[in-house]
Amino acid sequence: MDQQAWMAIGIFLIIYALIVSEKIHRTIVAMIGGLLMVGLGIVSQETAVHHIDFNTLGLLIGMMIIVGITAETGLFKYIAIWAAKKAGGYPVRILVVLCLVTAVGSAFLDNVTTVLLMVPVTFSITRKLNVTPIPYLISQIMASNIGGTATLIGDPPNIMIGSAVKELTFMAFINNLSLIVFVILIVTIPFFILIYRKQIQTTEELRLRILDLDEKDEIKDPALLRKCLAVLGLTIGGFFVHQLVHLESATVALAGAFLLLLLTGEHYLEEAFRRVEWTTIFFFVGLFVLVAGLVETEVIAALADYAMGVTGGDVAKTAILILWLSAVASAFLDNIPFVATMIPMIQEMGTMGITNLEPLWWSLALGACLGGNGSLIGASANLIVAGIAGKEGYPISFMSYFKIGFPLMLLSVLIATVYIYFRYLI
Amino acid sequence: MLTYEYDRSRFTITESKQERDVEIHFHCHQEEASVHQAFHRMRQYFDGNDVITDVLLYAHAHEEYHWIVRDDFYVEFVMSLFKHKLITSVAWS
Repeated sequence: MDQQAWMAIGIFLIIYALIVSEKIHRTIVAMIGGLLMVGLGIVSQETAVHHIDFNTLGLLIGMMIIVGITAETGLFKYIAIWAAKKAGGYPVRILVVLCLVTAVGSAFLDNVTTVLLMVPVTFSITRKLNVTPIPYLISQIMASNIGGTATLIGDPPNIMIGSAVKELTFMAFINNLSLIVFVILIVTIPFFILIYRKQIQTTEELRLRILDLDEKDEIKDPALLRKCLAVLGLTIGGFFVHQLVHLESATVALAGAFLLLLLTGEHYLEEAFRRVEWTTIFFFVGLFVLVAGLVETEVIAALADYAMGVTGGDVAKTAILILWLSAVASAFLDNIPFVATMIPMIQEMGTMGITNLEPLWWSLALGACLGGNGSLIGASANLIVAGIAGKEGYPISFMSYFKIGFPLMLLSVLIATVYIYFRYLI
Repeated sequence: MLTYEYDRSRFTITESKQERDVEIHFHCHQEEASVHQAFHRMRQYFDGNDVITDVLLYAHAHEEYHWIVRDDFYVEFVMSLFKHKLITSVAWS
């Protein structure tokens, strides 16, 4: 490796350590890392821009705008109260239905957005029942990470993989991941019931009061809701057929976002753009350029070569290694930079003789997304829920989450290992 | 602590103190669009801040509304009732 490769490794490791330490905001650190790669001549500005995946960014921005406006309508509170009533007001059943709502929501929105919408509703319902919200919040964190694994748009690692590999369409993600995600969710939920059932008991009077709630009162603007539902339906429909109509997923999401803004009028424009998480968008930009430095200096190729040496180029061994490495790494590190590094590495393995990369992509998606459940710092959704819960007077400690999250994460990855092995490797 | 007066011909207010909250039940004697709208504006106001559990509104059947107000937001809540003309006077007791 030449001097530039060592410089790229040095910058990457320092930036990665700073991201993990959380001393400085990860967006600032990632952008400085990207700028150093360009400023020190490791990659040219043109090459850096070429490496920025605008499909990932467009998809994220488009969905953030649509969900930001839809959240204003009260739809998510309506769904949660409706579901709680359907659960008969029983706290354990409500825990289950809120998990299911969160998982489905995370599959079609992103999981951070979903938990941001579900957390206020959860506080509201649990306060009405006079039970602690913590079991609901922890189970929703896990349900959001599991549900988000099911689709291309559900979790940032999947968005990045889907954008990098054109053959992995929205339907390919559903066909390959939704079944196993459903199985993992069905296996995981009984554990929540088993662990939390004694902590979430209420009186008969309070249970009956849930049944008496008027969920229709939560809808703040019916006309806006109709527009949002129509556009959300069209956008999700668009994802299902995006390959058939030769459109990238970002085009579908941005078309949906701007159609909604056209229908709602200018006064929503400013608010919609305020709701876009620009810090996340620039975090991605910085990471793409940071990883570009490793790709252009052939560090990624050397890493892929090393991994091929370890596994002997055997697809089965490589897939299982990627699955478990991604899961354990994602439990303790941010899975976005990890996946950003792994994508070019897997692509490199394709040029080194592994002809069937599909099991490797699904292993990466399952490992990176499910691994996020391993600890409180494993995924953005976890940190956001824990942050809000702490601020509201219900702190979730690292260890209290870890004792439940880590074993359930191992169980889910074990199920995923069996799935990967039997579906792709024999 | 605050005390307040209101038009008892329009609705009945009952309060109960819980561990860290005050629960306030409004029972409108008949359908009152103005009360409904005022409650929605109040909810929008409290939803707009950074605290989720400050003031929670639950709409029930039969024109009944249930507020759960955290102790530290009680004064602000009563002032909001006054602002929306749901109570006619408010005073420190």
